[in-house]
Amino acid sequence: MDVLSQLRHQLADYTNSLHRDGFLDDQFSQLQQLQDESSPDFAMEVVSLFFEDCQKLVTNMARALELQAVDFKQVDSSVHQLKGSSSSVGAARIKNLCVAFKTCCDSQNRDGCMRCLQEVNRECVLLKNKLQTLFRLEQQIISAGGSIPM
Amino acid sequence: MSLLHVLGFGLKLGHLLLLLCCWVVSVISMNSFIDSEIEPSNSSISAAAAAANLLGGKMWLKLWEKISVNSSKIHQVLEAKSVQKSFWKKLLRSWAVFWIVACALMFRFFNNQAIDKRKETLGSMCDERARMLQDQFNVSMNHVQAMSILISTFHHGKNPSAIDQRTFAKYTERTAFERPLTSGVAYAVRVLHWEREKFEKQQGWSIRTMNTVQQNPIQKDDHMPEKLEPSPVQEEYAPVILAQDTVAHVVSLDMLSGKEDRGNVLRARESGKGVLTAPFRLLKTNRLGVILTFAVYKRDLPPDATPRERVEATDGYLGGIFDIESLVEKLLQQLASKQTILVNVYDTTNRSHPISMYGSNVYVDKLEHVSALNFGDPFRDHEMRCRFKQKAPLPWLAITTSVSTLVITLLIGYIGYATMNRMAKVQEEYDEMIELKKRAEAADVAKSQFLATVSHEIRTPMNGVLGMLDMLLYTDLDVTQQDHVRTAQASGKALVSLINEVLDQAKIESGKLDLEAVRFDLRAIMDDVLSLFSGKSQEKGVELAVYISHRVPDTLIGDPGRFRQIITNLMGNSIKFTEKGHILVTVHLVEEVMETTDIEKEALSRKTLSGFPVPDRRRSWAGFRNFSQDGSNCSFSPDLINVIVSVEDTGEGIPQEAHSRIFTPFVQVGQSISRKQGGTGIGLSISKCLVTLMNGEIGFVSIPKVGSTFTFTAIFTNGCSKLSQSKMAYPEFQGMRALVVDSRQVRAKVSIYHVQRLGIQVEVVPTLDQALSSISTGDTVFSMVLVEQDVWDVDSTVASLFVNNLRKLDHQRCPKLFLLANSVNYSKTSTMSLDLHGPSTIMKPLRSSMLAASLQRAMGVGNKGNPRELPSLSLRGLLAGRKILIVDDNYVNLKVATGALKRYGADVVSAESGEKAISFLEPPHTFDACFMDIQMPEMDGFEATRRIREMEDNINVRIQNGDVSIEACGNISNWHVPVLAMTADVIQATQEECLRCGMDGYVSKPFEAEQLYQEVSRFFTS
Repeated sequence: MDVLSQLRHQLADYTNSLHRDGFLDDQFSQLQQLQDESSPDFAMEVVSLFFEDCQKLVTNMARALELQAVDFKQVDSSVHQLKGSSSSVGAARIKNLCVAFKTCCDSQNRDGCMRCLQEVNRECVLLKNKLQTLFRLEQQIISAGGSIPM
Repeated sequence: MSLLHVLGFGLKLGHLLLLLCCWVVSVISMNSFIDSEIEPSNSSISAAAAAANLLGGKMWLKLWEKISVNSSKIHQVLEAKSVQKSFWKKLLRSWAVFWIVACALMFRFFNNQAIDKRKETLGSMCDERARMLQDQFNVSMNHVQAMSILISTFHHGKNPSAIDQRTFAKYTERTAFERPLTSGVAYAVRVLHWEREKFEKQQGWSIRTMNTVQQNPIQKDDHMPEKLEPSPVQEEYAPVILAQDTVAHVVSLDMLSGKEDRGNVLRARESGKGVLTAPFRLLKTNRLGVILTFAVYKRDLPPDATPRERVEATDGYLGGIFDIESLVEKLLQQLASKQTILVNVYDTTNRSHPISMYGSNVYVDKLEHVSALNFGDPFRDHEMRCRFKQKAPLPWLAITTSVSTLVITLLIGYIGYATMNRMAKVQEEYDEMIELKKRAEAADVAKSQFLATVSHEIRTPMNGVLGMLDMLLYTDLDVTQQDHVRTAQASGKALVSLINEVLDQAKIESGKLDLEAVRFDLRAIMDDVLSLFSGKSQEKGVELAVYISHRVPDTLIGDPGRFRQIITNLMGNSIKFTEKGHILVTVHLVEEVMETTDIEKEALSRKTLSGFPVPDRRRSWAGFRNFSQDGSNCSFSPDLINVIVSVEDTGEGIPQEAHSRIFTPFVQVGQSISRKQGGTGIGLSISKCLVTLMNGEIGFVSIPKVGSTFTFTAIFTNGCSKLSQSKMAYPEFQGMRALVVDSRQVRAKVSIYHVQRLGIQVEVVPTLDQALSSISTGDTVFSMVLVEQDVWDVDSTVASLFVNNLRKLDHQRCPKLFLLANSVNYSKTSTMSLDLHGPSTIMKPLRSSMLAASLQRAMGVGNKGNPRELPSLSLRGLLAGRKILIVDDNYVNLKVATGALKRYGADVVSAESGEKAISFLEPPHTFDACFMDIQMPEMDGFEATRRIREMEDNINVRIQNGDVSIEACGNISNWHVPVLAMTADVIQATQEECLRCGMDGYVSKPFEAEQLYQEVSRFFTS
């Protein structure tokens, strides 16, 4: 019982820190709320889908930006997609980065795009680690026989 | 536009110059005309010249016409704006070249004319002289011939001869005037050699020869006939026997011995005509002369006599000596203008070596006229050559004409050039302006974009706030808490709408704002607005009240959002600047206000809501058009409702100097105000625009330190078409009666209005005493008594007495007591001091929902549950079991949206492209709705929806035509699946685009419960 409450405390703290540091926003909480008995791993599914998507988009964009003649339209649509999915998941930092990225795209600023892409990539990795930690904590709580507080 | 002006100016100037040019040319032609008239030599020449000039004038006139026609054409071309720079440059260049060539030609033409004229003059003069000379010569010749007849008759015909030297000399001397050109006449007889001796004897001298004389022409002074050699033996001789005195020295000379004379003599006797010698130096005088010789025959010869016969018949030879030099001189003396002309006479028998007979060869002018002279000798040719003494004057006429024309045309060319330059410059400036304009427009677009972004960014956190409030409402709250939450929510929503206002200004500025026409409840809107400001007004202790005339219909058709915006703006201003007193919003019909008598108004204006003085509100609409012309608005159709709204406050007012610019955007009264009160300063300008859009007018009256009243009118359509009286919102209050205790008429009116809206009948009494008496004595049973706070506070004893007296009444009749309080502080203190039976406090401003809630709570009537269903619950009700298609290319979004909708119990199918969605939604299908992402690769949401609608239309038509049975299509005769757009961008334009392509609505992404509910509830009935 003691372990459980400790874990819960840890989870709450961790979640709060994520929110505080701007990694996540409200939407993520809503996403978590969508989780119920019928789909217990909903958030995790969505998040993993998101990261897959992210990886794909980042690779696409990196390839597009390496070309001699950059197709900014293509990059832009990728950024748009990334922005949409990140806002759906509640990845606030990535979403904000996407806004800056989009501006770079609009002004056809290749260097800016490259910089943004690197940032996005870094943020993705960072967020992935953070969320992995978060889900691990949740798993631990569940395996300890508790339920995740909403 | 300035380009055309410049063009017009240039053309005008060119026109003027052309006129000038024509004038100059005409003057020149006129001058030349006059010049030629002055010329005295020959009238026919001048006439010809005049004709030529006239022709020239005509030519100019034609040219002028052409030019003016061309210029008008050019104008048209310019107006067509197909101006090409290079074309004009070429035109200009060719214009200059053309005119230079034309001027050269003109110069040549005029010069030639002058030369021709001169030539003609010279020719005529020369011909005249030649003719005269010839005439004179002929006269002389004739006379010489006549003399030969005389000699033949009187010398040879008579024997002895009737003429001797003396007679001859005398006769010839006296008839010398007949032969003006001869200087002397001599007669020689034909003497054959065998007759010589006899002849010499007879004459008394011997025949002499002329050869030596001619060989020694130098010794002319001591020329003596005695010194001449006697003639050598010849076959025949022709010694002179008779001679005029002037040539007496030739007597006895043998004419055949002189070279010239011999030829002459021989030719004369053979031809029988007068024969001339070539000019030669005469004996003695040594001047140039010619000798005319006639043969004298013994008998008359037939004209066709052979030369031989003639020689046979010859008796002698008569010679006339023509001293050409002096003679011509004499002749020319007689003629006028001899000094202008140089005359030369030549013997041109030998063409290559003409022999000069008269005149010098010194000349300056090359122009020469040759006139043939016929002196009757076919063997010899003579001609007269005339020249002007002076060189031809410079052709001033030609020079001036051509040069001035050239100057004028070059000037015109220069004007054209200048115009072109100016045009180019203007064009350049125009292009620059266009560029600037584009940049400005781009900046404007950027501004709009910025505003849109900012508003988007603000909306996001606001959505959080509103969402939380939304969720808070679902929790178990008591009525007051609910009201607070709703107020907070409404304020948040108002904030969002205020953000929209900033966008509105931009929209209004670009004239892109369109008003909606939907049914709305004016009173509900006023309540909303009121609740928006209630917090602030309570804080400040300012009384806020709304009064709507009962004549204003319950529902109107118009744009509620915009109407609300105007009211919010005006009230917002009022509450900003009012620290004490009240803010009263009144809504009337315009007709109503006009019908009110002045006295009533007077009374109204004196007794105000809070007792503070206010400016006369009538003055705020003094400038309205509808009021100035009486009754004009009465002619409106009954469906049009002309509403007049006044917002009256007792604030600090607007300084007089700011009145004029109060409706100018971004203008605030003084900088300090913006610092103190904030605000953008566009509220009033937006309001004015909106009022204008609603066919209304806005005006105000303001007295500093007293207050301001803003009044506007707006025209709506009556929404209560059917007479079904609006269903009672609060049936639980039906039939109740209330008593309002209020000393102020205006305030009481507001209270009555609100209480009456709940369906409660109201009576008003000014004091508590009267209230008590009407409760206790009257037949009517009052369910409640509403007491104004200041009436209650007047005297605490009266109040407690009132409460006690009320308690004494039996339970059925005992009305509930309510205090109408104004400030937050009061409600706290008063509730603390009052016991359980004391009055409940109702906070002003009064609004029907709040009033109803308070009354319900106090009286224990009505539904205990929340008046409104919880959106999430109702969403569940609406969506449970519905089959919904979600279309999004983004898997993450798809998953989240699916999860959200599944949570509400919907049966969700997802599709990741527009094409898939179309295949799913091909009728017949079982979907109840479709949520469609807008921005998708390949086929976006708009296109997909358009296709779906086409498909549906197709099938509907086919069902109607009976091509497809309804049964086959799931028993639905009219297919139309609701399609809702999902997008993150909440922009008006997107919304419009959604509707245009056949979408039914629009939800933001991620889903917001209330919005989702609003949209979905339009299609699904639970």
